[in-house]
Amino acid sequence: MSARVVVTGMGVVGPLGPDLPRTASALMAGEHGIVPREATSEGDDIRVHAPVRGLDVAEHFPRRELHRMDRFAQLAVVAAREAASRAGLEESVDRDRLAVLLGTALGGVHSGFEAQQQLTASGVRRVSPLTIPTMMGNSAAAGVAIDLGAGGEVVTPVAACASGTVAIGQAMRMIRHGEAEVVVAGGSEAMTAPVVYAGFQNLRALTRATDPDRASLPFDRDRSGFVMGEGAAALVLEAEDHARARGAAILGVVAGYACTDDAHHITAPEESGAAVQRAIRAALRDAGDDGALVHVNAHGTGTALNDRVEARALAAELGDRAVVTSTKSMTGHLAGAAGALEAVAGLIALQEQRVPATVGTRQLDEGIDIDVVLGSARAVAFSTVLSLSLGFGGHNAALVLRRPEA
Amino acid sequence: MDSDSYLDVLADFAETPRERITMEAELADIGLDSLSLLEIIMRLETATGASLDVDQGVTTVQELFDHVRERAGEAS
Repeated sequence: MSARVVVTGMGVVGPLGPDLPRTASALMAGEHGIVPREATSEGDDIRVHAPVRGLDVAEHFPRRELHRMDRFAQLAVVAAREAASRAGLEESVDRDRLAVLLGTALGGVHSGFEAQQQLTASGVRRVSPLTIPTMMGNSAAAGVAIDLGAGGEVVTPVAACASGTVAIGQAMRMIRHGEAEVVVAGGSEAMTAPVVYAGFQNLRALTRATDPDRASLPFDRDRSGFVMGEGAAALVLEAEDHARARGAAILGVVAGYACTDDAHHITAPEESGAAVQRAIRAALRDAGDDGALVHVNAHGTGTALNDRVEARALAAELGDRAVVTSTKSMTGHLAGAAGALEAVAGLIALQEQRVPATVGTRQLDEGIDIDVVLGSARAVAFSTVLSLSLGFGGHNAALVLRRPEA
Repeated sequence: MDSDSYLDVLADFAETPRERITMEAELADIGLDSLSLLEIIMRLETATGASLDVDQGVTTVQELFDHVRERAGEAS
């Protein structure tokens, strides 16, 4: 029997706040982080977004260190520091056995686009020597490794909007297999570049809604696309025995994980949801399914197709066992950080025994035959969370979290 | 570029009080690593119009200044 993998620290910086306590309180109060957005140029139709709230990165880094990192890496370091500090990693951890798995979808593209603009405007010799180290997708994981002194395996799983969940799932496996003693796992994303908005707009993936209160509407009949979010989240994972030996508080258990692929289309989900069902089933089996009620933190983007396919898979696989919410109704879509922030949201829900509402959503669409929590957070007695993340490329990642005493 | 404006560029970049930087100091002693040196060179090129050559292996504040003066002289 492999070791039980537990969570001993969490950190988050996102649209609901710059740290864990403020994020948790907004989550339960149903206060979303979606705000109006100015168009950046002609033809830019996106009027809402969900940037990080309440954070001044200059308070966290000296200026010189700051500009060595793209924003997605800065956010990752802030979140990882909080998680490490809450886990008490400063003491009693073997740095050579400390790993970092931090996912992202697009990494430091913003820095790359800025450098291209500089090249076009002023020529090759004015392109910053920091272009490559800020652009590279692994720069957040590497930045966290430098910051925490993590000398174990440090990598960046990339699976589009499933990256954060994949990172946590792979971290769980690393601990189970004894490949690391402690893993800082999560994701980060800051897709602020206008060209990224333009690309998503022309994919018809982003909502053109103008009212922040009615923009991110997972499973709603009026949903019209996702809202772009921004942020990072990190969990500290370790074997239960290791956590107990060093006297760390145990916040939850990462009990199961599975990832499948539609093998169907680069952006569109496969309509039957069969591969999503396979992921759910395999993750629950990995966790030792007890057949009890499951709180599902859905991928729930608010796009027509995602929500229809995901709801179909959840209804077919879990039926009445699932109490569903979409955190994206409050945070927008954090892409490669979404699964990490949603794992944190799931653990908060477990601790509080309340499922946060899918705010904004009023009336479920026809064919959405699942129990979605609407209005305000619902008190529910449950021991298991299933967090789902589905990404472009057909990635279906499912993570199972449990209460420590379960 | 005179030594005052040169030291201003270094102090600003290194976020170090100007009076702490002496011509004899090693660049590493004021917190400038290999990547910082590349950035500083770009700033100095912008300020002087000179084309600097980092392969020169400069390690002290004075050596970098001499190199800037030499190249700026060529540029003017």
